[in-house]
Amino acid sequence: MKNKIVFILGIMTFTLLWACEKDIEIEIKETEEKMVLNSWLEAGEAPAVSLSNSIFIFSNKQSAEIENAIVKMFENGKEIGTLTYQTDAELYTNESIIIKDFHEYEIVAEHPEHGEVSAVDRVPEKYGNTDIKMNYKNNVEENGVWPMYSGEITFEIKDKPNQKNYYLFKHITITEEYNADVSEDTVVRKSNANYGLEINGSQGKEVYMSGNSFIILNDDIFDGKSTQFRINSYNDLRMSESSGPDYYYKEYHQIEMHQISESLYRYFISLDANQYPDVFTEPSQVYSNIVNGYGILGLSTKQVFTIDEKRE
Amino acid sequence: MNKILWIKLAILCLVISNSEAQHRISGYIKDVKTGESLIGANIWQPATSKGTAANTYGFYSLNIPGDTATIKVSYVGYQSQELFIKLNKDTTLHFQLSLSDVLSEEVVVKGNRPNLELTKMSSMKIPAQQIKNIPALLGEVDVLKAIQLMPGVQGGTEGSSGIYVRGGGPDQNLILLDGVPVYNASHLFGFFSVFNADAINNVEVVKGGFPARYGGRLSSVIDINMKEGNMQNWQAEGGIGIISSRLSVEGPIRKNKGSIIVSGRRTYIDILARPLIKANTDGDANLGYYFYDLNAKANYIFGDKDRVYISAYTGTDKFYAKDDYSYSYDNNTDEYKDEAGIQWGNITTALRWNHLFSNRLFLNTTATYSKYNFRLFQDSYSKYTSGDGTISENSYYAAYNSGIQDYGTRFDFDYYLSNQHAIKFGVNYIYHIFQPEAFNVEGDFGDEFEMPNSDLIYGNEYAAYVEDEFEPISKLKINAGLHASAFYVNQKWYPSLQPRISTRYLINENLSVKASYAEMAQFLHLLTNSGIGLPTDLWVPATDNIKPQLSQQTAVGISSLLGKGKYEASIEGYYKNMENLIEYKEGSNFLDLSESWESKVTTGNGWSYGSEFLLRKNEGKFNGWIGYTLSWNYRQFDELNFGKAFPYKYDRRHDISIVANYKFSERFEMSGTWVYGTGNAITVPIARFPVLDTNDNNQYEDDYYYYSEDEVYQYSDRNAYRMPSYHRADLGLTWHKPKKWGEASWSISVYNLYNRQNPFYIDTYTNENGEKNFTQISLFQIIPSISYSFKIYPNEK
Repeated sequence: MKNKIVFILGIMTFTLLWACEKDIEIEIKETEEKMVLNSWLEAGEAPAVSLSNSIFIFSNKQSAEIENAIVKMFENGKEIGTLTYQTDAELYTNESIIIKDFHEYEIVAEHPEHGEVSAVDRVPEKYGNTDIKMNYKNNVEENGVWPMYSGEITFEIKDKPNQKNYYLFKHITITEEYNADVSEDTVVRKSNANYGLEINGSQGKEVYMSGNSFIILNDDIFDGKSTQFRINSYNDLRMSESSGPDYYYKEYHQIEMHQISESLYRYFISLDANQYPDVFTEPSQVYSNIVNGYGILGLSTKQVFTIDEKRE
Repeated sequence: MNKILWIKLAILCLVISNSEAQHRISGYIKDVKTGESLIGANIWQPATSKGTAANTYGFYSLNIPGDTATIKVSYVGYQSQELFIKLNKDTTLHFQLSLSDVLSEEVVVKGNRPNLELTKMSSMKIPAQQIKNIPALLGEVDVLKAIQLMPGVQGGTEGSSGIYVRGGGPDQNLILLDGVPVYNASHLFGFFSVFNADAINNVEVVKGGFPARYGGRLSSVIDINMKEGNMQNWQAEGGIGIISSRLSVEGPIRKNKGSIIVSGRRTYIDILARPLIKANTDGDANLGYYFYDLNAKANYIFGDKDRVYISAYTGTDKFYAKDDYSYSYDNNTDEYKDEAGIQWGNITTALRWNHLFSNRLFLNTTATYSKYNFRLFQDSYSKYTSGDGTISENSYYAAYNSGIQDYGTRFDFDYYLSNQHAIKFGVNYIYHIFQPEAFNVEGDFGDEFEMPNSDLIYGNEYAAYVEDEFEPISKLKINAGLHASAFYVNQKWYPSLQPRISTRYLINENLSVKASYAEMAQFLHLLTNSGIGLPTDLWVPATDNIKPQLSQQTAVGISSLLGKGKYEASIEGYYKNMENLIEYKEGSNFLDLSESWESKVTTGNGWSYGSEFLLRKNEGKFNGWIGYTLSWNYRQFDELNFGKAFPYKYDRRHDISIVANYKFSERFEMSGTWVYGTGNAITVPIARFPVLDTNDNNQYEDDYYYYSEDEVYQYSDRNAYRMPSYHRADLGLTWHKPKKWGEASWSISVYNLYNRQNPFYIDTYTNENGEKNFTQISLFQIIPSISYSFKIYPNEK
């Protein structure tokens, strides 16, 4: 009997404490679709712009590319051309325009249904060759079974004083492949090297993205000063090459150092913070510099360092 | 500045010279039956309305002009005493008051020197008995929940004991138990507070206009004094409730010289739930949760001038899951033991010495120790015994610890210069040892792991203060003071000078206006990831990278007596500015152990303003209060919400509390509460869209495939939306029955009387049509409970 009473009281307690759920309505003010403009323009390259639409949170529709918008481009306030939609690439481009270092660009996109969006950003001033040095060292560790290779990349940067600078380091793997059985052409593939990079002696100031193939940081810890930091890579970064009568294969690595605009930096930081909202993580907005829309117009310069040490 | 100093000195000299022809009475004001000090009891001359209030130890000192006077002594809930005295020298005079009989008369409050007479504003006292009458969740009387019913004080989420005062955070409240800071005042993840109402004498909450003697927190002081213990007779008090039971025993060590009280409480949720859990897990799992707390206090009077108190509190919460099994096969035996859990608790101790240097100068010396520790752990052991007797053992232990320890000492002087000047001054030192977070793993697997940046941090906090309550002109009373404090951490000093002033102008005997200004500094931060009082909130110090929190608060108000003094009404407006607040950076997660806490936080500012209305009736068969707060509360952090200001999570435009008690007879009383609050501010997803494609995987070098299939949810501005509003009614009925041995009572309470599903948390989910929906998680629906209480007075029957 005593046990029964205890059992009943136990059930009562838990029943009373049991959480309950119900659907509720929260009136969201933003109900209309907005145009989404995504574009990362590199100095020395032609512009490419993606246009799509946002989806109202309660809708189950899919976002789609917007094909029939008028996209104009301005350089330092002057219109320099129109970007046209390339169906294959699903992008608006104009090969006659080349993005220049330290210029301001504006993109205005107009669509009969989605209205007009615009964004302005400036390309950071590119560092000279003497401002940035990159060194690469290959390490081998024998664990008794097989050798473990890793790379140590050292960057030395003369950070520009009196301005806020933002950097992005990217590890790219490039393969060149020719196979006579498949095609007469040599196929070149370029991919982010996931799980590649990590700053040696991290102070927690950098952000890793895209499976550690990107490192993004600002100059807070070395503002205006020369700095040197090492990036570890848990990959064998040396070039490998093999060939035969009917095939040729080459794989090599590049480390790109981008000087990115503040907008692009803020976009990446916000994207990183937005990734995994849960009970213990305050959700955050994705940064956008698009007027009347979402997305990002980011600008950067790029210096590419190819690692040409060949594997034995 | 010099001019002001000279003027003040001149006033002091004038008062001193005037006081030479006067006599002084001093002594203690106590409860006649128990000898308990009546903290804050008023003593004054009705003819002149000049008077004073007893201090925390029941001591008073009052100047009497001339040789004769009529003295009146009063205390809420007690019968007032009036005494005609003749004096030819300074005299020691102790008073003993008896509880009032609320049924036989409506006690008129008029003339009881209510709040309108005091310079102190934005503060209130709640007697323990009033707290006990308020209906409670699962019948567990809760001091902090009672405080949440006062205007300007808000609770966090459903059921939580978190306190948010005038826009401040939960860390900005200095919760003192007998003068010792309590860092985590929550049991059961915040649903109950750690204070056992049976062991409490008095609770005072100060929300603004802080006198200079208080420091170290920005938003409030919650000063909880434990009972001293019955000086006359042994008695016991206790109760049996649905989830816990409690027992207090108190009595004289030596009659009228010393007393002791010991009080304990323990839950039995683990015992009640065990059969249910076993039934649902085939008997394998052993899950449980319990909390207990134990209070003890003793005091001894060594003479007319010396009294010593020693008090201690310890309390622990533990949630655990255990496995313990073994099995044999083919002459081999496997044994496995595992325990994982969360455990947290506080220990506080205080040793106090009261010394009366003269009838004007009172000293309290306190030595304190306070410790709060939180531990998340797993402890595993396995043993394999093979048929040939070979034994193989493995063990694994992982623990995440966080805590804070304080060693403190303080000297507080009360100097009663004259009826025009009551001066308080003192010094205080606290040695803090912080362990914000530490994670270590040990085991037989060879490697041991220790979290980076898990070193202890040592902080030294110094403070000195002086305050004077004086009456420069008739009807105008001023409490002015200065609190100076400094914090030394990681070889960095943070000094702070905090001026404080409160004024009261008596327009007439029923109406006064008040104004106050207070600057505060706080050298600790609570790094919190939720508002539900999780023990995982980390106490961290100001460091060389993170500055101390600062605030400036201005308040103005009107205090009034209505209905021939039966009702007390007040309205106050305030503006509070807060600097150097900390929050987790966007996207940071406290569960991420790869980063130190300092790299996960960002600093910013906050401000809040609003007005509070209180109508209160303290005495009579029917008593209670109505409180209403209209407030705005914002934060601005450069790294949050793109630098734009945003509403604080507990920005609550409207907050209403109604508390009513009615005593039908000596045997039966009823109480009820109703609360309403604007819904908490939340951030919600409002749209989704494709992100910039940065992934070059499998892209042909000359192609542009920029369009990404990856979508991201766009959230609203931080805290731009609201949860549904919160409201709830509770009802309590109590039957008292006199017994030969004392008194028994049965209490029935109903929490959430009309079964309102109040929001605890808002989540989103995608339904079968691929559409996003919001869902509300509610915790407590209607919860009836019953409890039995008893008081044993063997010597009185």
